[in-house]
Amino acid sequence: MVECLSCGGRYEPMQSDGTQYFHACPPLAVHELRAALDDGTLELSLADAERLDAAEAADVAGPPPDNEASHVDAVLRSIIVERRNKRDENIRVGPATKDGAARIKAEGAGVVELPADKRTALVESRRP
Amino acid sequence: MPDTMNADELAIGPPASAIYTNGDESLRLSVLNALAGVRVRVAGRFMHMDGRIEPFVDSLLPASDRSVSTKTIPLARGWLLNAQASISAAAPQTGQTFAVFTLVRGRTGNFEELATLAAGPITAVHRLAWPGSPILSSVEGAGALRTISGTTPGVGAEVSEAVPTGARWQLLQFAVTITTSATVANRVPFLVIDDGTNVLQQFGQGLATAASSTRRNYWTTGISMNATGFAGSAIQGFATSLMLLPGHRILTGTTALDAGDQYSLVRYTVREWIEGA
Repeated sequence: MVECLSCGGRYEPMQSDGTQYFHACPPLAVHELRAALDDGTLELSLADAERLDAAEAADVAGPPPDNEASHVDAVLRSIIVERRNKRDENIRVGPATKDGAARIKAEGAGVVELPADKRTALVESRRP
Repeated sequence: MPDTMNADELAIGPPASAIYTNGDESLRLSVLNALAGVRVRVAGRFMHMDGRIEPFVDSLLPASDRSVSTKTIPLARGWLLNAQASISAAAPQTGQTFAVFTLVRGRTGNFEELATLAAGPITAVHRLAWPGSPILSSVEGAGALRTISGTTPGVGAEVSEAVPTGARWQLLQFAVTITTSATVANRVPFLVIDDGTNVLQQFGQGLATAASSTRRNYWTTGISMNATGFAGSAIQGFATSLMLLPGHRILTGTTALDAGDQYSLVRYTVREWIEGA
C-alpha cells in the first residue's frame, strides 16, 4: 500500500486480480472550495460566478429545508477544481521516452510506501 | 516428415491464403494488455523459395498498462503460411489481452504497415490465428469483469476514481462507506460522473448520514432509482448503460461534507474493454 503525498489518499498500486491501479488525486471538495473562496485563492469564471450569485440569492429568498442541499452547495458541487500539485498515474498517450517506458501524466508530490498490513484471518488463540 | 516441398508439390504452389513476401517485410504482433505477468507466444510457418518450410516461434512480454507492445519477426523471400498468437503465462479474461497481426515493410525503425491479417482477444484457451481469425475491434464482445479497490481518500476529501488510459468501462456497481465527524449536518452522497472537466451525471442517495455515524452507500444497476436502506446501509439505482471513456471519472459529491469526514472501503465493479492507448 502507498500513500499519495499530494492528497493523502491510500491505495494498492497492484490489485488482487493482477491489474495495475492508476491513482489520480480527487478534485477539491465543496468545503475546500468554500475555504478557497473565503481566503481569496479561488478565482471563478464569469459563468460560475454568476451561477453562484444566483444560488446565493435563491438561498436567501427561500432557505432550503434541513434535509435538502442549498442552492449554493449544488452549484459548488458542479464546479470541478483540481487540487494543487495533483498526482495522476495514468500514462500519457504518445511516444514513449528513450528508454521505452510509458510516463505518467503528473508526479505530484510523489508517494510513500506504507508498511504492509496482514489480512484478517483466524489464528491460534493467544489467551493463556 | 520432410520440411521441403518436392518438384511436384512446388509445381502446385503454396496455399492460396499464403502471403508472398519479398524479403523486406516482417510479421508484426502488437499486443494491448491489462494484466500483469502475461506472456504471448507467437508461432507460425514460412515457406522459402526453395520449398523449404520453416517453423518460427517467439514470445512477447507485453506491458500491463494497455499501451501497445510489439514484436517484429523479419520474413525472408517466400510465403507466410500461417501465424498464431496464444497466451503462455498468466490467465487473462477475454478482453484483457488484445492482439493484432500486421504485415509491415521494414525490419527496424520506420515501419510501413501494409496489411492487417487478424485482430482479436487472446486467452489461455482462445488463440488468434491467421488465416482463420477475423479482424475484430477491441471494444467488441462481453468485456472483462473487474472488481476494483479504489483509493481511500484523505480526511475531508471526496472519492475519485478515473478510467485508466486505454480502457473503456461500463460501471455496474459502486460502494463506499462514509464515517462522519461530530459536526452537525446531514451528509448526502452523490455518485458523480464527469469527463475530467464537466459533470455529466449525478445520482444522489435518498438517505442522509447524520453526524457521528457510519453508513455504507451502494449504487447499482438493475434496480429502481428509489433509495432504500437497511441497518446502516443505503442503496440507490442508476442507469444501466453507463459507459465511460479514458479520463472519465467516478466521484462522490457530498452535500455538507465536513473536513473531518472520512470515506473508506471504495469498491466497484466494472465491465472493461481495451480502448487502445
